[in-house]
Amino acid sequence: MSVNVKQSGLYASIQDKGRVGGMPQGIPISGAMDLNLYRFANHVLGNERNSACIEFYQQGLKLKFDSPTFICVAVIGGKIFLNDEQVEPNSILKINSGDKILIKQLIEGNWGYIAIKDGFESGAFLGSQSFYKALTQDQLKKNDKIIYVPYDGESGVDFPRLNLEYYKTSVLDVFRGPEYHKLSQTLKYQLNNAEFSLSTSRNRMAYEIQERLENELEEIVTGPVLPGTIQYTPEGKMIALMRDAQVTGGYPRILQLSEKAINLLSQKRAKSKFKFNLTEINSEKI
Amino acid sequence: MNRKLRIFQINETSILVEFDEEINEKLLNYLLYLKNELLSEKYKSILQVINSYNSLLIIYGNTINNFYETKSKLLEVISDANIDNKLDSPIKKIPVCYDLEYGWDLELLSEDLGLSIDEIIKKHSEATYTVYFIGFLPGFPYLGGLNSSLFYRRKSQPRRQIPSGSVGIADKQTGIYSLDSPGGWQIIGRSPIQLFNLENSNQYCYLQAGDKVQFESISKEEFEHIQPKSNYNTW
Repeated sequence: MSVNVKQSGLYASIQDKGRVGGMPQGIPISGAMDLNLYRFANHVLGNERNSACIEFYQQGLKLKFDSPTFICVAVIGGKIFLNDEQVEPNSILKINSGDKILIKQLIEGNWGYIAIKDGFESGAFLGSQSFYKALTQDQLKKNDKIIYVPYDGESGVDFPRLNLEYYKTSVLDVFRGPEYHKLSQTLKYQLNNAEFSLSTSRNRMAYEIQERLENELEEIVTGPVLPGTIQYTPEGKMIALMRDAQVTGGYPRILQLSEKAINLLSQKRAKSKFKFNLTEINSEKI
Repeated sequence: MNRKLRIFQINETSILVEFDEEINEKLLNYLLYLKNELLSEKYKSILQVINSYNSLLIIYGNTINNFYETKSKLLEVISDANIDNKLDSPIKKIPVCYDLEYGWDLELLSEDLGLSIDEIIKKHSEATYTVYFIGFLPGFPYLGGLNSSLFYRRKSQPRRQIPSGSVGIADKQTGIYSLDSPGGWQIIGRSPIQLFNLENSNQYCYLQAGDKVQFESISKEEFEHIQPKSNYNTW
């Protein structure tokens, strides 16, 4: 039993919470860009927390289901159609054989999630079904089929509501990165007080910040990086590494986004403004 | 041994232990020893440990609630580590064809370094290298031990596509592109072997941190005859 991809849209993929244990072999963590929204989608259906969902970007994904089930399309704001009729996102949707779902357009945010009763089935590497080019396919393509177990039972009528307040902030909590202490007072002041925005250059690996700061730091000896690490390039560019981040890098790591801030940043559109809020995390030099 | 270090909490679940030392093999052995120790049964809360030249990134399964407690546990492990051993790794041979067809930057390096192409090949293939860590791409080894006469900076503009197997030089390091990828290293040859192979499900990467590596110069004919299914590719 499967769902057939009629239109692939942009950058649609299977995602779960990501993989563990691959980093020493150079394999990224991956996983849903917005883990909060992904978890919400599963929560609505009463799925296990880490069930695999389809992640999609902005618009154009169209799927046809060949068997009955329930799904939840989680978005911050968007127009979703079930067989040409607009339906409520962030709710439980009953699917019959032959039903088609279309992501017409996201009004807010970049990424949305389609959860299905008991999760989508696809090949797992290191305990995760998350797509990553070197391990699985890169993105969903037209005519791909994704397996699921049909479900003909009842669904509950109660489901949690998406907490939209979560997304209504333009302040991103950050921690000091390993090279933060090397920055001048002026740069630290700018990072803490200036407004920043995203450029259009972004993908699952990294989002680039539009504004440039005058560079002062040399490259570092190649060291580990994580999703949420903000690198500072010799041209003064800041690059926020996202879920498919490589595992090591040679640019100074000036800031580290909190888990929540990665989710929030992933949903920010090009040109939307945000500020950093430097937060203490228990660290000290010895 | 007292090493200068800092222990730094990176985010909710990760800690970086960074040693203030020049890159050297002793430090690598020490880092790999600590990494194994931290991944042992004793420390169930630790999910992954990643080493680089001079640091360990430790990722925990849960939020670190008490950094000072976690830090003092780490310090205990670090101070208990009393090793002077050398990693006893067999040398893995990697065939490389240094033909100009694959060694895109050999002529540039030859001119700038004042060495003939044959001298570059000789110096590159006679050394024994150490894999410090795998990074950048799945299976991409960072190799230390490059002859200092071959040190050369990265390209100022990375190339859009470097074929899998390409052998490159960047500053004091040499490495092998394990997959097709954009990249800025100076390319001096290509190996027919597949460093990253999903069919080897217990070990996706041929090379692991701590391994020793030697390059074996092969001809274009030999390069073309080493098939993807050869012994080289079934580690």
